[in-house]
Amino acid sequence: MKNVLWIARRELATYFVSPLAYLILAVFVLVIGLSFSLNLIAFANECLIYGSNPYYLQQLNVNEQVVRPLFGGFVPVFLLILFPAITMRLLPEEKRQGTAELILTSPVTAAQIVLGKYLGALVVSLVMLGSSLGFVYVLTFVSKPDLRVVAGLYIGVFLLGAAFLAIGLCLSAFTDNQVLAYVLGVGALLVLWFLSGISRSASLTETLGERGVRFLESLSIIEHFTDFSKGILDTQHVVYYLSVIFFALFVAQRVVDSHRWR
Amino acid sequence: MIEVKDLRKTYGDRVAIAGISFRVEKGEILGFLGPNGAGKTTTMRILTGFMPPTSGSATVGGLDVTAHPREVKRRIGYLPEHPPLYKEMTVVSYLAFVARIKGVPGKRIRDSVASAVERCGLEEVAGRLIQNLSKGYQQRVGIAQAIVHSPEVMILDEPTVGLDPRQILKIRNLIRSFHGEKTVILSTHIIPEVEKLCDRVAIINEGRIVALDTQSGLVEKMQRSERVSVQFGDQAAAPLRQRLELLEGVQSVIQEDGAPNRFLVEARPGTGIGRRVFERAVAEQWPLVEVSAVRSTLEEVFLHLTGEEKGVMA
Repeated sequence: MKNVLWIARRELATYFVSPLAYLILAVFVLVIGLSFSLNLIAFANECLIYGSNPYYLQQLNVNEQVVRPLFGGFVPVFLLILFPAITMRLLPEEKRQGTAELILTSPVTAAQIVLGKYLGALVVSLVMLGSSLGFVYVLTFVSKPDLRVVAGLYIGVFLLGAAFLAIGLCLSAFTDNQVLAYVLGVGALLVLWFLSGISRSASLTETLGERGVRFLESLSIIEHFTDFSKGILDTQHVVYYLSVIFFALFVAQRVVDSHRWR
Repeated sequence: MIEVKDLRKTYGDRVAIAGISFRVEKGEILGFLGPNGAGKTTTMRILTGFMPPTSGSATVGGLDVTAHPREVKRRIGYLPEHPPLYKEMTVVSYLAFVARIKGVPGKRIRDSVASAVERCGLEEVAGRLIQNLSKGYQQRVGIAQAIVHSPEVMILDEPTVGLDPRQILKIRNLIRSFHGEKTVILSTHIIPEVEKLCDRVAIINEGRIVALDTQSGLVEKMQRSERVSVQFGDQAAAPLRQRLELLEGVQSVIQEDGAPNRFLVEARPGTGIGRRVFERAVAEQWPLVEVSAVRSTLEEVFLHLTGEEKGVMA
């Protein structure tokens, strides 16, 4: 366990001496901030215009019109683009600079290496998501968002992001090229994402059958997120994300270990 | 301390090492000498647990490297061919990280790092980022990394490659200071390095150990001829050359470069050529100035054993 923490700590230190982490963080805060302000301004305008009408007033909801579009719709897309950039260097960099030979001749296991690196990336992602709490804080001054819904969204976004990172790390184990690792990561996430719509396609349902399509759809990484964005916390979705993470890390561990028989 | 028995490693059809066996005693420095691609790095990688052998066994301190990888890894300090440096870290934080993953207990980290820094002469650069250091310093950080957890065994893969002569000297002195204290295996394709540092030499070629002995032992064993250098005193040396050629057992007489009166006489081993040249000179009153024995060098042995003699020596 100690080894995992040391590896994670070293990984974190590397993130924060390189410009990459700051760049990702800055882009995230900037774009989320922009989107948040625009949503909020639009919402404020609607309040001004319709606020005097009691019928419309009931329809106005800061959760529905500011929080959910942002964290439920925009942030996941953003994570899909940014998170593979966090994980793309984790394993390829070790191979490229030859430090793999140090790590693998040290008394640490492949599982400890993979977990340490995953933990490091996870902390970076937490810093990133944490930075968006500032916007929620601002929101509590000007309105009364339902904090339970906000918390649900954060848990959902965190699990979604954690799954993205695990998949990114897993794919980075297969290559020693960072660009390739990034493209593989984004590609795999896109495929998993677009599985969500396929039950609506009649022709696919015909070829794969009702159950086949349902099954594939249940694998979709974004399908399981929808309930979180409605403020529902369902264990089946939590279990889904945890299994994705476990499976991806397991594969990564096998790949790292496999250098021994190559 | 280290015992290797019939180690083999194949990659598909390609044979990297084809049955290597040797022992290294505690405190000894063993040199691996061989051309590039001979199997030195592969052997070292197996010993360090980086990769398993296809067959055969290797033990370090009595522990099998494949059966007890973690214990063995703790006892070994390894400098790969390219020093494994996290260049964005400072020297001290890098060494502390290595000490930790090598299993040095938390309380002793600071001391371990300090002594590695001191031993490798890194005090001046201790707080600097590794990426800003010269290649010589980076190599020393690589060695510091290999000793930071006070291993009993050190495995150094071409520790002086790519350094300037002054840096090479420093690294060699450092390695020499391990003599008697740590068991060291050192690979190189630079012959003087072996001559200066190693107790024994294993010459590796095409995946096999073709010779393993002390330097002088190797040279002696590999002596395929007796050679003497003969110097005559005046210009009338040419006819004497023929007399030399007629001595029993003489294989060749070569005039040495730049010295018209000096000849290198090569004879079959065991003919006592030096004494017989002298006796004949006395009997026939040759104007003899000097007769001296010429020893083979490790370089000749190496070139002979690795089959490159024809290309290089002739």
